[in-house]
Amino acid sequence: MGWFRTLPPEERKRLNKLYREGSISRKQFMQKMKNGFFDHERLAVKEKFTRLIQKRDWEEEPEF
Amino acid sequence: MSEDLLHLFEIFDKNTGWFFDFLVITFSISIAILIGIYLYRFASGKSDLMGRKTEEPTQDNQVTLLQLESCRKKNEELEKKQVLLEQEVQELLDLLKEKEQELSKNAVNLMKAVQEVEILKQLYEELDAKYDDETYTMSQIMYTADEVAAAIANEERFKQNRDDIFMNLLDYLVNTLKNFRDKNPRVIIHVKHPNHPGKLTHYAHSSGHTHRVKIYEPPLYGSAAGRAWRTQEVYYAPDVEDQKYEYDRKEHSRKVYRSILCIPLKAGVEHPNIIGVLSITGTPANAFEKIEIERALLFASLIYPLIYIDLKQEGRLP
Repeated sequence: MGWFRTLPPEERKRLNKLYREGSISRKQFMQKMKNGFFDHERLAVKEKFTRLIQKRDWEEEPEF
Repeated sequence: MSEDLLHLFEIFDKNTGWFFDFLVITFSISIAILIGIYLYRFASGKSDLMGRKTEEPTQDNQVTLLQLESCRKKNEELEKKQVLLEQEVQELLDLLKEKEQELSKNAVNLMKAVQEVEILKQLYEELDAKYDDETYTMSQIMYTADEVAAAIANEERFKQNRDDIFMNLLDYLVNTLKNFRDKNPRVIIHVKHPNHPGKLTHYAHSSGHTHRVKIYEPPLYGSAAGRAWRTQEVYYAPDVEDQKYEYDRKEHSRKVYRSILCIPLKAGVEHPNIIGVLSITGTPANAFEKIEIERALLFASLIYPLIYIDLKQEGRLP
């Protein structure tokens, strides 16, 4: 159950400041703010999808 | 010379009369025998009319004939085989053509499938980006609820840091809006004016505002926030420069936005208890998507208890 750790308010404020100043991108801000929360299922599906696409990319492209 | 020859014949005639007769008889018999032989040979087929010997097949000739016959048969067989092979070749060519057409069709289908896979890949990535955004919004909701709960639980701290806490809370909402840099969204909360029944007054705001934000008091009639207060419904003006929208167009205004979204802070549906209006401005026209309006509604409900408790304690609510 160790993953149920939310970011402390000070850290959230710090990230918010960094984002507003443009020191970090929205993508980075989102990931840091989430800190893995609510994201397990999405990442699991994404991993499956990435594996599938990589498998497909390894195969030779069809020639016509 | 001729006289000599005639003389010789006379002498010969006188002295050899019997011999000549004998010679004639012998010659005649020989002719008759020859005619007999000729007729016999012709009748038996051993010679033709002209007396030429008919050819009888020799052993060599028979072998040659047999070989010729064999070759002829082989030739016939080969010709038949050739016809069959030509038919077979034609059939194979037809089959090849058919297969080529099938292959071409399959190649087209495969190309379409490859394109569809690419489209699906793009759709998945788009969907994943939206899912990512939703999970991020969930985290912002969680932190907002956490901050609201902390503020309610620690009243003294809330009173001391009220502006800072609200700025923090409203920034969570701002952070869920897309294209932050382009929209430059700012949030402000107005509540009922304690002294002017026809106006609203400033209660809290997000970061990004100047101190002047506290000065403006939207009228209940003729402003977007006032309309949301009166109707108790969400009011979205995607372009405040469009005259059809109810908006307070102040002279010498320094406004830097074209879109404004006003959400009533209310509890209940049948007999809603409205306590304020949450407004979000965006720099471009049509700044907010439907999902962003829905998120703003959610955040309005989240912060409602804190504002309600605060106003109640200050005696600003009945």
